Amino acid sequence: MALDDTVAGCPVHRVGNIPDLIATVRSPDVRNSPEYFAAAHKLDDGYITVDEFVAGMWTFTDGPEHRRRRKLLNQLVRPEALDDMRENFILPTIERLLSERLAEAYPDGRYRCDLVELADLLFVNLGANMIGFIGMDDPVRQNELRAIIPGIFGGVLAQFFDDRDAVFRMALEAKRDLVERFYKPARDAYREMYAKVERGEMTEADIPRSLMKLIVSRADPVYEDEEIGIRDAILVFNTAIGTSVQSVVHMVHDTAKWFQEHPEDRRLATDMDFLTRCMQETIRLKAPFISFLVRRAEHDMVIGGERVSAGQELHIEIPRANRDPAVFGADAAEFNPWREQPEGLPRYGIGFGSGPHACLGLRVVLGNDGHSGSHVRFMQKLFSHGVVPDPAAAPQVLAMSQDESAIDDVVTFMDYPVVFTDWVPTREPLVGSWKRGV
Amino acid sequence: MVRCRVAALDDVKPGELKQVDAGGVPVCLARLESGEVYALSDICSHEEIELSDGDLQGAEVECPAHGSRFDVRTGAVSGWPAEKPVAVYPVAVDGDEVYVEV
Repeated sequence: MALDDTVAGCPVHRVGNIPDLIATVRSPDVRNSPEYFAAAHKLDDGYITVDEFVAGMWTFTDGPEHRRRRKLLNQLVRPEALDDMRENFILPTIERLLSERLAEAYPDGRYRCDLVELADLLFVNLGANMIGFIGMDDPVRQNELRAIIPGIFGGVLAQFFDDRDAVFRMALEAKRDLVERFYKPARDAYREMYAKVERGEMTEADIPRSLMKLIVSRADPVYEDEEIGIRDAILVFNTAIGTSVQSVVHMVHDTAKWFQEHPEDRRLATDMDFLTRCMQETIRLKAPFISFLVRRAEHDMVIGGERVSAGQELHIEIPRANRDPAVFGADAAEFNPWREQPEGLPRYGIGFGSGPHACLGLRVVLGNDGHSGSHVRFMQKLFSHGVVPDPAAAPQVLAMSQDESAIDDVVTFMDYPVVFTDWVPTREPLVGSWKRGV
Repeated sequence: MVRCRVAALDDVKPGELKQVDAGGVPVCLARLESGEVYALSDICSHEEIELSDGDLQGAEVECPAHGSRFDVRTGAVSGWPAEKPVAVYPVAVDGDEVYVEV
């Protein structure tokens, strides 16, 4: 069969094992194309996602520009930034959110909440903090920002939904709200701070570390185009919230099941090393919480012994590759925090990706030292209060377009009812919000 | 061990990194603000990225791709996602010349 015939008959090449996947995503012949990510080359309305949401985002650049912009953004996850985020933001915010949501017991005497909502609120604040949004101590603004989440996700991920007209209507409205009510006020506040620096009234070091600081200071020339700054903010927003929420909810789901089946390990419920292993297992099995990422072959190439032609769409099946028994053992598809670390790979496999586009948030999740991450500390706090899935209510998952790569347990939780078996309500209101210097 | 002249001292400013070739070995020179010069493998142990394209902060080099950090004096990991150290090499400054033994 001629190569062209292969492409015509099967325009998608699936990459679902670790060696091929790593070689593919690191290849200079493979691009992270916004048009392919959004399926714009086959869906008439896919260009709405490209033109309004993702084109120009740092993750949809390649080569030297991507290296330059990624290096700049690494500033946001340096050790001192991670410490600040964890100690001064994540931990006090968790305390405040728990005390608000668990103030009253239900009639059966149990303390309940929706873990998705709890994590949403925490990570909305984290995303806002990383971007540099202002006025986020106000619960009204926190809820306004949270209300925008589904629309922004829809704009970026419309290709995974059937009713795209409705998704795009909601997405464009959400983007307008994000820009007018959050992005522009933050931009203006940072501009004013830089004006104060010019006037000698403050130093640049006093300006809070954030994406907005990089944008307003034109730390990279691309930020001359304000739309690029908005799209980078959308990317931080989506990843800080969407992926984070799913990672912690899945981690509670997996770890609670493990404790049920291995009660001898319950003594480790607040052990950071154990919980880090649990987080890494969840990441290995389920990240990036969709079945595949999309890349584009720029040139004719060979992947795993098979010919791929220029322009062919590549589906990078990370969860499937991370379940390879040849790499992770016979029980590779199961959650096992005591799994041996495979030679040459981290415990999370390629769950954070590989190559230039590997996840910027890895160091937030796992910490600078690999076992003090903000997400894991969040889990430690939940397990210290005896979090378990609510036996009286089943979680709801998002209905998305199905594809042949789908893996049954890689789902998006829309809610996840939990019970806290070891919670004592606080009598004094906790002050846990984190105030930026603006 | 082979002693290689890799750079003039003025080529490596305090607080900066420089990629050099030491007998075919890619080396990252790091000159601390205090003036001391160290040499370590230029290839990050996490993925094959040139550390000399990263940033020097104090005595730590930060990989430009994923933010892994290494102590330039010992090669030890000081920040994930790298889990393995990188090689370090003896450095001698003789007058205005920098030599590395590989």
